[in-house]
Amino acid sequence: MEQLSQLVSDDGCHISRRVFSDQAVYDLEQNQIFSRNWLFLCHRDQVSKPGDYFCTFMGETPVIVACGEDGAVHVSINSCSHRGLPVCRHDQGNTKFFVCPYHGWTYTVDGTLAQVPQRRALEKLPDFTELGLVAVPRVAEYEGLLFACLDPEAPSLDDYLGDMKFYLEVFLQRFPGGIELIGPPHKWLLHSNWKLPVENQLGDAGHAPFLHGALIGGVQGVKEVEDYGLTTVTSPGHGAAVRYMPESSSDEQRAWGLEGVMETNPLLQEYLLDVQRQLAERLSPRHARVKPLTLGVYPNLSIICSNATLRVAHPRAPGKVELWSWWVAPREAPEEVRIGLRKQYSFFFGPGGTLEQEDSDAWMQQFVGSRIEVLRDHPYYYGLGSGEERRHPDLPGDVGSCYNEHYARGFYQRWRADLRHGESL
Amino acid sequence: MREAFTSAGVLISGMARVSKAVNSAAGAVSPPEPEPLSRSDLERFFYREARLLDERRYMEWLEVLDQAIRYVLLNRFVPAAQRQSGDEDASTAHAIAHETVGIGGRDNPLRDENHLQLLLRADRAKKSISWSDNPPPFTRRFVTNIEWLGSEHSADGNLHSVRSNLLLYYHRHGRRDAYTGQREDQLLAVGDSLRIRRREVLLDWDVITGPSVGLFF
Repeated sequence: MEQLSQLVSDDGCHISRRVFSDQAVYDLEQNQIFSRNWLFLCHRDQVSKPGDYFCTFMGETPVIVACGEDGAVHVSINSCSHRGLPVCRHDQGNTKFFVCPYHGWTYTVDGTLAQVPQRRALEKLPDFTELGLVAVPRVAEYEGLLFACLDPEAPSLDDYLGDMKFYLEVFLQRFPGGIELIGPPHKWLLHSNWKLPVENQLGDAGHAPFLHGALIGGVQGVKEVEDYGLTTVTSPGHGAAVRYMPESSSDEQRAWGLEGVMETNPLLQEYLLDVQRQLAERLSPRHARVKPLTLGVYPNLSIICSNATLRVAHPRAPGKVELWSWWVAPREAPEEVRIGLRKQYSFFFGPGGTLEQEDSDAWMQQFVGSRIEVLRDHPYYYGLGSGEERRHPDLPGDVGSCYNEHYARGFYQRWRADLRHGESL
Repeated sequence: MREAFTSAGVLISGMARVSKAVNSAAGAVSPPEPEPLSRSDLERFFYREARLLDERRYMEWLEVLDQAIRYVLLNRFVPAAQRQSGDEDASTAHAIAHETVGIGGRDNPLRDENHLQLLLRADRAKKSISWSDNPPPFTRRFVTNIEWLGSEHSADGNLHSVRSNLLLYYHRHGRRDAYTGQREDQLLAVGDSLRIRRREVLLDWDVITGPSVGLFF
């Protein structure tokens, strides 16, 4: 692999096609991106009782997230210490033990080795304390979302999220009873590079009126994005695309969700308006003016607020990514409201979503373009709005217009710095 | 009466006859049992439906849907084996029902749509700027294993429960994909024709590998 500076220019305006297609780049990402950063696992609800477990991935590393007998969350690598098989073969559930199918080595849900059946005919036993499942050293929770990090030296999750928390609060604390993630998650394999959906959901408002023109062309929401839309970057790699509504705007104009409600259901509309009316007092007047579109937490967590879904992009190969998405529901909303809101997710996003169909097509086709060998020296242009981002009187981070691509420049600059570990941005 | 051609159908209509006998013994007056649909009626209906979709005649396909249709794609995952209480020989441990999630307000089906949403999908597909359908995929649908499960009276006509398997071949951008699944339909008999009142699709994937499940199954 050539110099990293040839993959991403210093100003982030030029990104090599090989960033998305090169096997050596992909292999380096596993160690430098997915082994060093905080990664989203699941919601605390999914492992709330002792014995509850949820299987997921940190990059390509399979992990078990489990609630131990002590009530704490433990994250272990799903591979037997004896011969390496996964000891848990189900997506989620509740159990006392994980048993390796091969030789019956048995672990408690927190990863402690509890039983080696071969001991019956042996004189000496190995040291069980050294043979538990390998534990992921850092686990932390933010607003019910569980994260873990394979690097013991990483900063705290709190510092890692930093000012991004302002934008996360706007959505995660929006509803009086909080949110819940409804699963099991939808899972689908996309023939593309993992960074392409991630980059899109950091703030790519520029594609919407065009790629999605057949569905949303000419609708009021597009104009609202051009009038009030902003891209914000609190620290490179994270991103939030929001509409910041004028101080004079009404609750109807500010209310999250109303623009996407597909049925004229008075109960649903009243619920969303009521949530909005309380927001300035419950959170702050600034929070109440933010109408979020998409939020991205580096490296691979995305929240599509406008469509009530949270997703994680698990890399599988340079040209393969597995997307997992949950429907994000207000915890205390009545049944009828919940079912009405769910359409905003599954009709548009997820493996059966209409907008997702168009996005998936674009991301697959971009991967095809990224593999054209004779264009290896023709990088993509990410320079739209370069240098136009500014500080904002009310909002944290660097703030650009809705079509400024600084969210992507920041992402790839941080990505490059991670690959070249230790180099400051 | 035409012959019901599946054992499940025979079983269910047999049970219905028993319950009718009990009702008449109690003096209740029940309407006559709806006639089962014949294999050829159902094949004619499903084959035409498949052909309309493969020929991309989506607006005509909408006409075989009842206005009150509920169209559901279930999500499927890999649960731990779990036997129901009282099941001593563990025969329910791997019941498919454990792998699917429902459609209530705390569930997350892949899709749960009504006529409006299906109309929006059909309408979009024919637009030149609908980039996921222009150029359109080549598809071929195969409907097999048709089972008539039973029927009931409803205010709008007789409602028939019918199960079928679907194999959908899909080709686009040089890729080939195959979707397989089971459909459980409620078909409303209106005069000589049938309308789909409800369709519940169970696809054979936990991680979906086809390019989209936003298709018409």
